[in-house]
Amino acid sequence: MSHLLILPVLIPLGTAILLLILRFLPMARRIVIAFAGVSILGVNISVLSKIYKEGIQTYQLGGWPAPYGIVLVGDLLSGIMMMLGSIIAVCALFYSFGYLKEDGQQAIFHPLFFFLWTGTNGTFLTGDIFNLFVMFEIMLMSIYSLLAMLGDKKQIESGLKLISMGLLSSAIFLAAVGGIYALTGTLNMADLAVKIKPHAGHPLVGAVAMLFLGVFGLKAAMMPMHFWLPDVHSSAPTPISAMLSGILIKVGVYAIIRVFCLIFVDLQGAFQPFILTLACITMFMGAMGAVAQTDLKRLLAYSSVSQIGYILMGVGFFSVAGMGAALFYMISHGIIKASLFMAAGILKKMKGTTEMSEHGNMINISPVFTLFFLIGVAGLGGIPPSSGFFMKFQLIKAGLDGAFYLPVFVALVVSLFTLFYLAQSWQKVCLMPQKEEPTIRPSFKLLLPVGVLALLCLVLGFAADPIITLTTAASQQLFSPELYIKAVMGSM
Amino acid sequence: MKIILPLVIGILFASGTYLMLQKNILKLVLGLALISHAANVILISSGWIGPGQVPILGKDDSIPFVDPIPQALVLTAIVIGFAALAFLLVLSLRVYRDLKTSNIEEIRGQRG
Repeated sequence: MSHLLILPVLIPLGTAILLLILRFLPMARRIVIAFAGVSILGVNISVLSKIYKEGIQTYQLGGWPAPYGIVLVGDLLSGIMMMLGSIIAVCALFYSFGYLKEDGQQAIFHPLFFFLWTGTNGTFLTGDIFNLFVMFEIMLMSIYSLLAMLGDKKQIESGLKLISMGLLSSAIFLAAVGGIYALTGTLNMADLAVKIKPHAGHPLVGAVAMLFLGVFGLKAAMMPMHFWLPDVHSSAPTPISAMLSGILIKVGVYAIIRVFCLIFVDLQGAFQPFILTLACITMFMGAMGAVAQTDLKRLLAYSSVSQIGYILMGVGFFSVAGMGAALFYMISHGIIKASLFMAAGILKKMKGTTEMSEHGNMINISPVFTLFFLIGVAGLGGIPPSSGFFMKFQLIKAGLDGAFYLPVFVALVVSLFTLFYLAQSWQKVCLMPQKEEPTIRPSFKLLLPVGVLALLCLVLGFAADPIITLTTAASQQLFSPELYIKAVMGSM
Repeated sequence: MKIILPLVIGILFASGTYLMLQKNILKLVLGLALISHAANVILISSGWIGPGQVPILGKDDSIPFVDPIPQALVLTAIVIGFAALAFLLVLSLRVYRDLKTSNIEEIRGQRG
């Protein structure tokens, strides 16, 4: 049995503990962080390539066989999501060195950041529904602390909102797990998929599916449950905003995909109109919220709500093409939104605020910044050379193929608004004259990760083909759950 | 017992929801605590109402067994809930010290 699959969880966990011990040795911390960041990225690449070549990988924790012990399962979906998370996390780590104060802040930030990374990787890998809950909690606990870390009033307030939301959602999650365990007597997701089949039509199955949709929808900021996101994403420290919008809201979408493509396969048809309606409302209302904002980070946070609507729409088509498009959308949006948030963080560093009226004339102050920001705007707006064009094109195409004309119409109208509010924000920040010149220039340390992500967005646009092949393969794998079940249960 | 437990769960959820809707921040915390307890009771009750296979080696079917897994699960859930609740309490204290109020309506600084 190869131990490769446990490494994406184990390395960040070990690093976090090591960083806590090395609290007072800044130089040693830096070496550990650089080493860990690179090695997690490397491990994720090898995990993804192994999954792609050899099919679904499983790892039994402690050697306990499948339905009784906890298994880690790496299929293409988890591999892709972990890869995306690692790219954004490495950039956010690099960014944090320039963004946070050397001594006190970084010593608290980095261990928590690695705990967060442990949680996200664990969420993507686990094949056990209760372990999913535990991994969610590891992730959420680190987010609570990271959010309130700098202790300014807005952060404390949004921390309060996030924790209340988190506690409520974990209570509902537990209730759902209790319900499904009472029905089937198992927690292993592959085993659940088999054992829930004879109970098709049982009222508890529908109720539990609805509870799961609610919990994961809350984490993904689906419309009636989106209220916490704009406050939290806009007031968090910028590297964390990038992580939150880049990968953490996608964790919710990932869980929805996993649950509905593996356990509640029979309910896909029944939930489809519901998910599509919510997706349409989410993208429309998110965009409406974004148009009204004057603060750049808040605008980006509302835009995240709107984009989650697009991703959920792709999921809601429940077709191979739609799911593939949603996966591509997640990758592309994660990279673009992280780069935009980091760009907003540079503005915050310069003047201490992200109010757009305070900024301006960036085209003369820093042409490089203007260019990176423009790439992000073009990406999210869906303008061709960037990956944003392909993400929208694929989604719309999948919608038209499946004859979902109304959602496609809404998506097209909303994308017009997206382009409008982003172009407007770019114009305000970069072209308009400024009231007073800033004293601080954007530093190289902060510009580099933004540039890397912007470049990735362009690369994804020019070389979209291999990524689309990968996401389509992942989506095909999702729609043949028997592969997943065989990989987990076959190794008994 | 079959009727008492669902009743307890219902009462816990109802009073938790009621407390969460109050303006006092401490009542919010207590409400969340009650709701997470309700969830824990649901979880532990799933151990004896279901047809689940109990993973006990060499078990004698004539003696009724309570499924031990939900008990292990609920222990984990209690610990996690305790940690989150403790953090929430500390944060509420911080809110009270910074803003000199425990009214949720008054600490809404972010709008729109």
